[in-house]
Amino acid sequence: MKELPPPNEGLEDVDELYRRLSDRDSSRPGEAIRRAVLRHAAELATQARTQGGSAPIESRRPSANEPRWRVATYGGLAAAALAGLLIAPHFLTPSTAPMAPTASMARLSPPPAHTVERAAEKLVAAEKPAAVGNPVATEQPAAPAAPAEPRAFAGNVRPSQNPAIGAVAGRPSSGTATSEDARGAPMAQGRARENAAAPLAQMQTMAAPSAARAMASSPAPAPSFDATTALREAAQSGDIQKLQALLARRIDIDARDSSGRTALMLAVLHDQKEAVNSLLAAGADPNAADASGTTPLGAAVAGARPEIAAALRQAGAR
Amino acid sequence: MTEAAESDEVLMGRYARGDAAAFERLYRRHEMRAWRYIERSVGNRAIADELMQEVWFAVARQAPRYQPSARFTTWLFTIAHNRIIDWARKSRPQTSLECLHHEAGSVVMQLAADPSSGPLAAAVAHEQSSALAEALAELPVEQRDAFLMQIEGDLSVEEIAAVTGVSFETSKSRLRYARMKLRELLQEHA
Repeated sequence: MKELPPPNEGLEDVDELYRRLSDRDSSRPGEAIRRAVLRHAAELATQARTQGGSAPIESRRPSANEPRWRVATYGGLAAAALAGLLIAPHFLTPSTAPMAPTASMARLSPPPAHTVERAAEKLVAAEKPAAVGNPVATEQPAAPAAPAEPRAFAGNVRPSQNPAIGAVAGRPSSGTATSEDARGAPMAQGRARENAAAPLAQMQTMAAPSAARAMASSPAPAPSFDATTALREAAQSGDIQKLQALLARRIDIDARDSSGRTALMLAVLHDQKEAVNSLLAAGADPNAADASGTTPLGAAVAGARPEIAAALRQAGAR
Repeated sequence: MTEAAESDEVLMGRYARGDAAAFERLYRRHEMRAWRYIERSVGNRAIADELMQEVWFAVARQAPRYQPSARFTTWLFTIAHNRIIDWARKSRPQTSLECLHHEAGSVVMQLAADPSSGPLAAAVAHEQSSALAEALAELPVEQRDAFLMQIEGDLSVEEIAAVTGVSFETSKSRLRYARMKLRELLQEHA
């Protein structure tokens, strides 16, 4: 297949034309927006100053991509992968399978244990009937890497949900599964998967997801790790340690579930005060309403949770 | 280092430590780029205003988590991109982007709504900016998104691929097809 030339080669005039026409466009954001944004930013700056002149969140939860944490992060992942490789054969087969000595070998080479392949085949077989009933799920690729948290239009808006997107696109969107589908489909298929692939699930719990996927070597992708789903689950259950670990990653803190609920909203609904405080401190949007239009403050008031409501108000909730 | 020469990343660092003036400079530096990206993506000024506010509120709130390893504009446009998707998901099914793009109305309607615009030059400017908005509305949404990110946010193909979660080649082809289509649509204004 012929490779495309650079995106603007021979088309530089389009950029020039765009800019020329764009300069004639007098539309700009309202002055009220600017005032509101700057006022909000000034309030947060005052808070940051009063808390010692440095960002409290940064000092408490350094990002995992900081150099000082990289060794620990990669080391932890490698250890988890190795542990998975060592333990998995005990669950998968009574016979002794050759074990890959390192995680990198597991990623680069085909799975050494034929029994692992067999387990993966069982998983595929278990998934296939469910996938027929859920065509969206069959189109869903593995979720992209968590740090970038990319969300494509086509990947998040199904024509059935918002025909506008498809209409403007002028063609059926490719890979139209929503990110919720990616989370929802495995849940819907959960029973069959649990029964057929319990050992694999155990393995994935213990090993790094990438290593587990490499071992499975199956045409059906293993369930991908979704950091924003995990964040919501941690917020809902009040698992502060997990929550803090996830917040240290550069993920979208305000990502929503299929009902439009953010992690903060779920923490409010489940009366998880500490989780609410952690999320607010990490910059969660206190006004992010769910699909029904309920705001976190509305939910706190309705649920008679005055402490949470006070914390939300202090964070600017309306 | 002079104030004017301070990078976005330095300003963000200063803001995270409580310097509100740094944020204001950052805001003014990127206000129009972010606005054009949002407004031309959703095609409606009222919605764009709302999203613009949400995006910059998020920037302010999440400043302490910002890592200078990521370019500020990439981060800013990632937030904007996500907010636009959230808006598209929440918006009513009958609210068509196409309708919204046409909501601004014809040149005649715009002129009628604005009695101060008398000169012919203003009419021509309106017509040209409307033509641009209409041409952008004609683009497939992924192509428009990629193109606006590059032309307004100065994002590289790699950065656009990362933000939108597609491959480098897909991003590259979206950008190329967007430009080809725009050239065709804006031919009479060339």
